[in-house]
Amino acid sequence: MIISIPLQTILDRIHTRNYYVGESYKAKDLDYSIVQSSYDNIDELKTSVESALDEVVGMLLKRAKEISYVWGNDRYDITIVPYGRIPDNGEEVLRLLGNAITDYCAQYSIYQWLLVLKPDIANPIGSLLPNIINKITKYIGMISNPVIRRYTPFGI
Amino acid sequence: MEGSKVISLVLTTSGLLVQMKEHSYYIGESLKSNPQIMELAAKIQASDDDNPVLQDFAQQGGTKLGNILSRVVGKTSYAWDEGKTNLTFTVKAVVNFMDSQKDMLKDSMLGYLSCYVLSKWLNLIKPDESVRFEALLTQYEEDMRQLGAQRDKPIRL
Repeated sequence: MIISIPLQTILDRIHTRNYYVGESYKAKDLDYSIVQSSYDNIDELKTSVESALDEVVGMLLKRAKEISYVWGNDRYDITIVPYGRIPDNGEEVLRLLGNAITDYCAQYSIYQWLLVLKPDIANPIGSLLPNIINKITKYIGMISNPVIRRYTPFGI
Repeated sequence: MEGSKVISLVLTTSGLLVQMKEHSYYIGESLKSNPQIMELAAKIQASDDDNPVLQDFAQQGGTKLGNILSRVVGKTSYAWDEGKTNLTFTVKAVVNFMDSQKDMLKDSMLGYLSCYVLSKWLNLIKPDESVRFEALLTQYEEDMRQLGAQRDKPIRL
């Protein structure tokens, strides 16, 4: 199973959210305009996006037989080999999982971005990350559950 | 702050000096009602004969203005043309800098520079009159900061 996430989609989310964060704080201090990211900041943001993907892959390693991602042209392709049979609604769950991973990458990158530029406002954004992680683990659990064998002493 | 959008802002020396001289004319006229300083008041009213010293002040002001723009908009360099008729500021703004603010920024820059030249001019002739114009410089700087902080709303491509 492959989840394909265009970098553009993640960056669009980051820029849009950073725009609103900046606008809301600029009313009291114009210096907050610095958090309003743009395509000038793509190098910095791409590094954060990849750190977020590393975290996701690390988190899901034990929940799938195989999981990895590669950068191809303008998108990240995440390959997942689930444990066991893929359920009938697998495609739909995969779409939801892709959205949740995209959201995690965007939110994580915004958090890192704010930690560097304006750490005083980073925590509310960072506090949203565990919710997205919960969503990701929920969706991966729907398509890939490790096989649990009943404990039998002496193999009986 | 430095970015990939290059903005060119041109101020003309004639426009700058006309504005400055106009202000100096009215300041002089208002002071002429006091007969004791009538002669001094006339000196305040800058004329074309004073252009060399006014241009020196404009040059100093240009450096200050360039530093302010570097701080509030993006890395700025500036250059005078050969006849010193135009002063061109080249600003590397962030790509989402709001273009619609460009003309207002230019007006604020002209206001700042004309105010700077006027305050330096008054400082030569009647220093007590220059203080309020020095204070105005801070206001212009704040205006530029406000304009430099405006960003375009991101558009999903």
